[in-house]
Amino acid sequence: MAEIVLSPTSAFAGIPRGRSGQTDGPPGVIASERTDLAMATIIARKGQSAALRDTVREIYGLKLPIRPTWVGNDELAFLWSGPDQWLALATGTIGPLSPLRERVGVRAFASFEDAASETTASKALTPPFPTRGRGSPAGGFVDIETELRESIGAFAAISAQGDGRAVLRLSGPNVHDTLAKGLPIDLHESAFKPGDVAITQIAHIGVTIRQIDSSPTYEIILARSLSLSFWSWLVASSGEFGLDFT
Amino acid sequence: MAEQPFRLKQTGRLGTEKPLAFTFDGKRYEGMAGDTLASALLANGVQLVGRSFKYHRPRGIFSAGSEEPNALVELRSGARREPNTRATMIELYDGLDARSQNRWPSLSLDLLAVNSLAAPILSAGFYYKTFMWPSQFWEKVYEPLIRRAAGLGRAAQEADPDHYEKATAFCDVLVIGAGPAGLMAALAAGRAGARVILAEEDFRLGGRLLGDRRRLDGQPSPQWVAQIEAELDEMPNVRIMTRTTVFGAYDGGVYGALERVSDHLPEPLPFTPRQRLWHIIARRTVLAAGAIERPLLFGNNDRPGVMLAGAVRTYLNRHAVAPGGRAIVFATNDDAARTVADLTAAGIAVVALVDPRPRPPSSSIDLADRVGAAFVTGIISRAIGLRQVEAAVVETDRGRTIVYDCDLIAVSGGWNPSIHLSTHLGGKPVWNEDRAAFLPGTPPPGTTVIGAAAGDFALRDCLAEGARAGLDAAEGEGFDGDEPALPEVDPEGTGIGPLLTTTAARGKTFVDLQNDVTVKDVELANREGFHAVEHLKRYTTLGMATDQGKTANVLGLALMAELTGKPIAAIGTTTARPPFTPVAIGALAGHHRGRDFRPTRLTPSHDWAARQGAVFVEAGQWLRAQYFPRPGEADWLATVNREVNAVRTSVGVCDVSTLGKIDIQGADAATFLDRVYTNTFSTLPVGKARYGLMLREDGFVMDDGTTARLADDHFFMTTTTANAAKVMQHLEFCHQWLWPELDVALVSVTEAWSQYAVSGPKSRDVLRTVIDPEHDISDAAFPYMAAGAISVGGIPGRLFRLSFSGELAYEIALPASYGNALIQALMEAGAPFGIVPYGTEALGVMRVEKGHVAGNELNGTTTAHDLGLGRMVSAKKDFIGRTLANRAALIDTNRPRLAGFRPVDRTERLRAGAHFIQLDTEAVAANDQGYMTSVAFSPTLGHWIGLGLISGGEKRIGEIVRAYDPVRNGDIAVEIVAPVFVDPEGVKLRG
Amino acid sequence: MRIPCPSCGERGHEEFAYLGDASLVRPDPTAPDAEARFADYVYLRDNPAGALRELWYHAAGCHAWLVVTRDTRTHEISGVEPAKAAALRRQEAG
Ligand SMILES: [Zn+2]
Repeated sequence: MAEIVLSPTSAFAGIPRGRSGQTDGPPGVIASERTDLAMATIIARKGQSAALRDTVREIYGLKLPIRPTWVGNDELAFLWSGPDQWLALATGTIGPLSPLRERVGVRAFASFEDAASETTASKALTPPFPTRGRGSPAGGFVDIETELRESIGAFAAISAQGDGRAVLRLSGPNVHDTLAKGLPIDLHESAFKPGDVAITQIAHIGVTIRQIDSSPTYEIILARSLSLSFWSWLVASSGEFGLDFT
Repeated sequence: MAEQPFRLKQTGRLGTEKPLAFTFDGKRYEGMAGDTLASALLANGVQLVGRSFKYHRPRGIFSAGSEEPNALVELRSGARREPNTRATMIELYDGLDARSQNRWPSLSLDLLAVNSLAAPILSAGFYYKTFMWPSQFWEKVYEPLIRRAAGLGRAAQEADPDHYEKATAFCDVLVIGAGPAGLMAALAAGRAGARVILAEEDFRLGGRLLGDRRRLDGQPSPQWVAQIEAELDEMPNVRIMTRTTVFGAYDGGVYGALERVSDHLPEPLPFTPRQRLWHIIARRTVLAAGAIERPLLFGNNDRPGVMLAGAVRTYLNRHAVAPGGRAIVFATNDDAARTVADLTAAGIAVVALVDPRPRPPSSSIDLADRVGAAFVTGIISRAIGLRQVEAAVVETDRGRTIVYDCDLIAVSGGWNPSIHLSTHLGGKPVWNEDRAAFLPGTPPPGTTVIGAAAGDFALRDCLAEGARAGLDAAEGEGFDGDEPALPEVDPEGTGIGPLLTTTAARGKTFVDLQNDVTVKDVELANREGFHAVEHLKRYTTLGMATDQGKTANVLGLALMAELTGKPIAAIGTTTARPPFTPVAIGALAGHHRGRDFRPTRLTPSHDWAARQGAVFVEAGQWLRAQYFPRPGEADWLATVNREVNAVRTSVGVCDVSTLGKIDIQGADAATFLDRVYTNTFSTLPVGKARYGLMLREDGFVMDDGTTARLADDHFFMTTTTANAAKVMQHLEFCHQWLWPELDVALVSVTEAWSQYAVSGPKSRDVLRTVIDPEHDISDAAFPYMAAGAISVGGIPGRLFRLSFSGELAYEIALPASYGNALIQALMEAGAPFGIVPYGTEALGVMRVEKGHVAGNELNGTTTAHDLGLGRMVSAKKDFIGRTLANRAALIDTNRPRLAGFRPVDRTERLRAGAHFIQLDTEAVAANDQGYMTSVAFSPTLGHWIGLGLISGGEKRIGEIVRAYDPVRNGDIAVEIVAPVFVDPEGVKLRG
Repeated sequence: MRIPCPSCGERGHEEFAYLGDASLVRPDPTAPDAEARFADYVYLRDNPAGALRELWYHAAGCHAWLVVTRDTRTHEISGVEPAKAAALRRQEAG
């Protein structure tokens, strides 16, 4: 048998791109899927919280949040996901064991961390080495599990989440009106800001929501198996404003 | 098309003069934009709009708001037909089509009005007295008869074509009601910078300021409203929600509200819901819901033409409609003068003002004099007229009887403050004698009740309280502001007489118009001992109609108070519960109906399986492939037999990604598992998996699954599909609450992995070509129950040598996004071996053949011993459930325990759910010995087999018992056998 | 009802799963009367009118078990703390 080549299928791969709902005028909501993400859960080992935070700060230049917020950028982000628990998100389709630390090291984050108002603004970093395309024989996702085990494994349990969660970015003038139809938390700027995270549910589907910027752009992270049910809700809820899936 | 003979020219405040066409009972009429169906019908002189619930009495329009008890109509037709819609709440739109209901064959000729003659048997409690015997008559005779004779509208037969939504909104200050008090409150809070939601049931703001001719700061009241509305509109922190009824108050500042997004349109605009159910989460609430005017009791007080005085003014002033041509006003308060003045101003003759108060205000007397109306100290005892009021019989305080010709009787017996929302959380209303009304007791935390809802009916009080309450609420949330200046208000009389119950009523006198409850019914209830308010309500059905007795309840209480000689305060009130007005079930469901009833989880191979023509089945939230039919297969059983045979003879593949997967790490992970499982995991070597059994603390089995040890301090647990979330919650409880000292970390990784069972004698051959060659999966290197890391095409994954089928089998896992590719790679690699995909049916057949327990046996009532798993219960350690599992009754070997079953006549089919009874004993509950939990046709054995729980279990192997299945007329002899039907020694597993 | 999760902030009760009385302590399985004690622990509940410390699980949020002090008559919540912290304190107290 020929050499096996596996290509990943993203959670929303089956959804046609383009406009749905009301089609007059510009779309009220713009959605895009983030693919090629690798994820891992980080849980501080007993009594190691402080050491874990110190080490993450030292190695990645990021302060692990102790309340529902996130730090990092599109390449690597740590999202609070419970007491002493975080979700690490890293972009994929890069080599098997990448030197993440070099790519997103202290220097890259130095200014990022101090600029309080911009704590979470995305900074597109140019990867220092070529990325491999989807489906290339040795392709795959960033082995974030191994990476984190090596860097902080002494202080934390690292659990691979692979790409088991679907990730959608939502923006547009009616993003609040749409989310209000399912999300039971307050997104008003006085209550939820760029850098904030909430774990809750939309239409009975567990989600993590984080605010990316003040335009506002949000990212919704949910169980991959529920992506079609979520999509059904999103299409129904954004219909009156028009949805563009890019 | 008719003119609009009762449309007033000069006083209209409709805004536009746009004509709209509509039909009622098939007849075409014209109304105007800004009308309600009620005002449009009145403009056309249509007084008779429905028949009553029980007696089929002619009924007209009684109010101008959501309290309407009479004018219930069927709106729209076909799938959108909506019964019991209040004409007073329907906004007119072009092409509106409505019908009267509860009449047969027509509204004006209703043959069932004969019910009126049968009134003696339809009186209070008639259900309980008349239809007692024989009981089967209920279903066959009484109920159809009653449904025909009494009832409301007809629901649509087709599915609702529209969609509904639910949404959440947050605010600092929720203002409920946009009358003068609510407007001022919203203004004060909004100006201070608070996030305000102003919710108004009507489609326009203003409340009584639209219905009355008042002047504020010298302007007509609607103009003043428009000015405030404009300012509120400009404030980004204020959200005005019209057509929105706040229907329920819940704990923690949560309110339910229904927004009628599209009810004022023929059908919803594309992508727009018909209605939207809001959860409003408010830090503070100002309840300014106003008050509902109270009717008065007199004979035939339900005739079309009898109308609440405030409603009369609303139709005159807001809708420019004359609700009659010749009016009499009957009221117990100074407000009556306003009604007389407005009628006169509209050119309607007022023949008399009837006021029962011994000392009426001189202003009323003077006014009556001025407009040429008689002022009578007395009461109306009866209305005359069959389908419409034709005259009123007045009894003066001097004992005279005067009959006044009229077609409109405007009544006002005072007001019931709309305190409903203040009582939803248990606040008890308090009777106030001065205002003759129940006032809010202790409102919910953070709530202030103001204006008419608080019993302060004067406009100047409403405005002042609104300004104060709005600012207070904002300041309470940390905002600063000033109280808005109060407008100058024209003078008003505020005297209110006591609640009037003594009547010289003659003829039927209605307390509850919608449920046809009369004064006589209340008297009857009293005579028969139903004095308590809750008894009165249930015995007479007073207040139990769709209007929840908004105009009726207090009158009923007052009557009972009088009959029993107690003060009203001692009688108390019934409990008001949400919803304040009816809410459609569709709105409560929102998005969640049909396919979206609940979220559905799809496996990584779902699309692929669908392309193979798989039939799917729900398993908890998941959709799983049930079987994969091929053309030419006679039925599902043929398909399942083929799938089973393929696995038993060659190889098959099944998506098992739905199993719950939990990552468990930490120095104390093994200790933790020893405490939650009945068996020991600390002795499990790295690279091995073990079957584990979990109990609840009460000693019954909670769940089972395999757990693999990936490193000294790292385990990977699987749970059943159904119990994944429950097990996670249980483990978190054990970790966080019972043993917080343990160093252990738990997280669900169910979604991370796509996992396939590859089963059958050829499974290793298939996997060998798929798994990258550097991984040795030979029996020696990777024996039964081994677990380890592998990769496929360079993608790292995991391999477990587990078997649910009893064959040589593996479970292979790759990251979820590769699941779709992996199933195809497995199918391609297995093609030379005739690999088949198999579904949950074949999985189930093979597990029954192997005697493995599953959901039907892990049903919450079985113990480890019951399931033949006693050997897995360690005696050397404590674990959850250990102590109570050892209770004498639970280890009694005569409990129903797991055994296998086969039909004595091998051609017979077994049925799950059949009960076991000893041969030659009667099939009665006392002889029940257990039941069949799972059955399957075993293609391996060629007959049906079953698992079941039978008293004594395996002790009785060889015995023959009855499997009795009365539901499907089954009664067959079955033999008790060992629960493992295929390869009991487990030779095939280890090949 | 709204429950202020110490980590997530105030959320609707539908995000939580309820367990019950937080004053119950899992009995010592080696005690001579362990069976009777476990039966009490598993089956017997008081039903007080007033403040009650009870266990809730933030199932749709941070997955923390919480000790919520709730008035059973009014649903007023007067305190919330992570169950783990309360459990560690209980252990320290012996
Ligand atoms: Zn939480």
